[in-house]
Amino acid sequence: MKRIPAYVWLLAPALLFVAAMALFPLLYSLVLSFREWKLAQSDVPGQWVGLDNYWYLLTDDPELMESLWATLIFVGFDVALTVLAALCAALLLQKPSRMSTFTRILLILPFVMSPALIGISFRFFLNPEFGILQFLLSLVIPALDGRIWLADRWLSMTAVITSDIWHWAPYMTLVILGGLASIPKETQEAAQIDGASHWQVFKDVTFPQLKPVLGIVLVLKTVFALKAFDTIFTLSNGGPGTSTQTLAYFVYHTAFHYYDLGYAAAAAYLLTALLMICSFFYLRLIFKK
Amino acid sequence: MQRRELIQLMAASGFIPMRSQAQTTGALKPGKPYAGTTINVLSVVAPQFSAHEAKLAEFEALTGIKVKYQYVPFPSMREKLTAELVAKTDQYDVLSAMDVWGPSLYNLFDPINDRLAEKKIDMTARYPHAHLRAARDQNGTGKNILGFPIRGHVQLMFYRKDIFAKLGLKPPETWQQMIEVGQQIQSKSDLSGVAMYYGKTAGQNLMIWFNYLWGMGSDLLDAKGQPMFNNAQGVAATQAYVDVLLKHKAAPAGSASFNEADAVNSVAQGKSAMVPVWWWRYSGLVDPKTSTLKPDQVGFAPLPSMPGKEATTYTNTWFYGINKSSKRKDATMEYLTWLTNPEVEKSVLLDRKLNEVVAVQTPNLIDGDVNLRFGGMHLFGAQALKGAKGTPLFAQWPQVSDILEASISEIITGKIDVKSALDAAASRVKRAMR
Amino acid sequence: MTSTSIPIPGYQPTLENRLWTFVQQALILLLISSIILPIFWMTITAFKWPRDVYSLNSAIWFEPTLTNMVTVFQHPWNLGNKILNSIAVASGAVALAIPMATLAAYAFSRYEFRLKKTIFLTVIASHVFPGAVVVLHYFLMI
Repeated sequence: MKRIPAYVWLLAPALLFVAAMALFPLLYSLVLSFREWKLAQSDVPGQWVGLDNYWYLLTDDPELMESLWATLIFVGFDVALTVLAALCAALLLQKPSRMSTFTRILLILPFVMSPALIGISFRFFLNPEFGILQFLLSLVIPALDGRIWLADRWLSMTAVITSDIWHWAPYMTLVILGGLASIPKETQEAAQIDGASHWQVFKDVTFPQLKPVLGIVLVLKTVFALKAFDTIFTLSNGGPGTSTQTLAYFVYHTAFHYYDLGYAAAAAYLLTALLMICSFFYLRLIFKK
Repeated sequence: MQRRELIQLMAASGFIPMRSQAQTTGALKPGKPYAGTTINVLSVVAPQFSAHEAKLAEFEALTGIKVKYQYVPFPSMREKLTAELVAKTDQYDVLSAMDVWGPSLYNLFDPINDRLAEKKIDMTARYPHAHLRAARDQNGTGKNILGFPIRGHVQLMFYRKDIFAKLGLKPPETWQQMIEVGQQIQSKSDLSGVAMYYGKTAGQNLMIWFNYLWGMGSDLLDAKGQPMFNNAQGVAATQAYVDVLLKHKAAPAGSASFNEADAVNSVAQGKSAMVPVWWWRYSGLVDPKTSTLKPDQVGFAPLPSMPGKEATTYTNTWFYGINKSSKRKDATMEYLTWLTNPEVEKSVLLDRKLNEVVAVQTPNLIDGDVNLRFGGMHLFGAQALKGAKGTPLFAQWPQVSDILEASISEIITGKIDVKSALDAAASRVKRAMR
Repeated sequence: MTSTSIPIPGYQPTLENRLWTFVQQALILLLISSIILPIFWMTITAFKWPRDVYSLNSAIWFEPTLTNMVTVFQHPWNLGNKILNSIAVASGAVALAIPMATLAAYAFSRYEFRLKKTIFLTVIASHVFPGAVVVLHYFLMI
């Protein structure tokens, strides 16, 4: 018998675990998406319907279309603004000083809080009658005075995006700070000695070297934004109407409010397809090294 | 409330006070046959159930059965029951379910008709029809009874007695009067009129809407099970419902995103003068830990209605049923028999340390002592229940409720008109019912 | 202005540079407060009576109380038990995950073998699926 190579032993635990805990349920859900199972009517999976679930999902469900649109807006703005905010914060904090060291320690706090707690807290802050943010913002921006955040499609989306940015941007800042630290100082100093302004140094020296890190941050954040559920559920409950109902919320709601499990599995796989596209980019970035 | 007022109120309502009848109570089996068993109860969070828990020592002394309560907050309750339905464990012997969830959860409960006959309990004498139908199968019309109604609510209009007295106003009897009273309060004081709740949370914004819908003669589904809430009367009813805020501005601006708790808080913090809500919110309005109001500032009246129609209410009923997978069904029946004795419910109502108003049993609703304590609230309740339509009961309710509450929360943003929104909702409901 | 900043070659303390530094510090302060204020708020809410939580007037001046802390450890919230559960779950997860991941990472970085990319993809892919898809099966398995 051939000697079993070392790497097989090293990989075996992780692979077995992934197969049992992740792959098997995923395959089960995939199979489920081809069947019909309405929990209200039977407590075991129902009959096979082939591609019917997917067909209905893509051609006959206006709620799904709204979800896709809401997801597009949410993910687009969330990722762009988070990465932008994280980049600016990282640039601000890269110069070592007492204040920046103190801030870096604080940065981990929002990330360790549970997203559900953040959603509920922001809901409190934006309450029309006793919310502190509602109060402060309407002082600073007169146009917002008297507007009910959670009863307006766009303000509600803004609130949901802001709470997600608050949750993730500090952590992303730390990641980018790590990336900035790995850029050799000499390249920046050389440019400054040659007379380049701050902006030119950033544009031509720092940014190109930061691109790999930024790429990873972008893709990871997109994945997390697509999966984001807790904050949306506790903050706006998908409302008003269905304007903040993203695809992740749609899947949960079809499964646990409508009790339509086969259909929910199909919708979940649609979301999965989107996520796979993102992961493809992520892996390409990693393997380029 | 004085005795004399109480007698007048009773005479007006047509109820005669009675003492609990012997036939409606069940007897426990003698000789402690189940001593040593432990029963687990899965219940929703409510002060009423904590009050029951406080009496468990008495039950254990009588029968030797230990009872353990496990609580789940309302928003998570349905998920928990779904998990139990699929898993079929015997972890809980008693499960509590809300009326509208019943039809999707029938497979969870064991019918108790035989057990009731054995104990000689007469359910129709004990419970108002509107509450009892929640525990029947086949959407409230079947023969099988799945549990004991244990927690039932009627809606009342709570209002600031002191403000009304100061401005010389009377509690409104019609929805139109409610708007007028609200506007008057807004012009003469710095409170808002009536705290409505149009926000999207677990179907709460539909609770008052139903009263408008039925009052105008429309309904959720027609006889063939097709949506009819978008007919002319339905649109008019919905328009009237949202116009309280949109057109007449008799509600605080925040109502657009309020859920039920926010609206009650608005009154408790002294920001609004009226709120139409479930009667159990009363304790939150007078407790100094949660409210800035004193008991003599809080008054209540039956819910307004359409002109010329009787005051009615939308009901909400919870029942305790026996888990089909339970292995201790007989002991569980003993517990439920003891718990649902009208005397137990009455003692919770009369307990001075609590402000618990919830009662489901007819003998207690019309009881003299109870009504003396709570100023006739229960007589209002009994009256409203006589004509109450009760909640719609059918298996697709969770979907329909979701579609409608999203619809209402969209209408209230003012960016879409009522007819289009209801038509869109109707086509979604049709798809859901297929 | 900052006492421990490291001198940057080419830095002239002109007005423009000093203004820029001031702006930067103001922005850092804004960042700190945007992180701290919500957390501070959430924390003091834990010490308020319910009627103070829902009121803007009692936002800062309120009557503090410890009853919330006491209540949450009692029946039916039983936070004590739930914290223990969390500790158990977290410890278990970390104790399992770190060794497995370390071994697997070592294998991936040190060895070349067929199907390396495929296996790597599989392991990563399972991380990326939305919770709803995976949890549905756990829910049914039990």
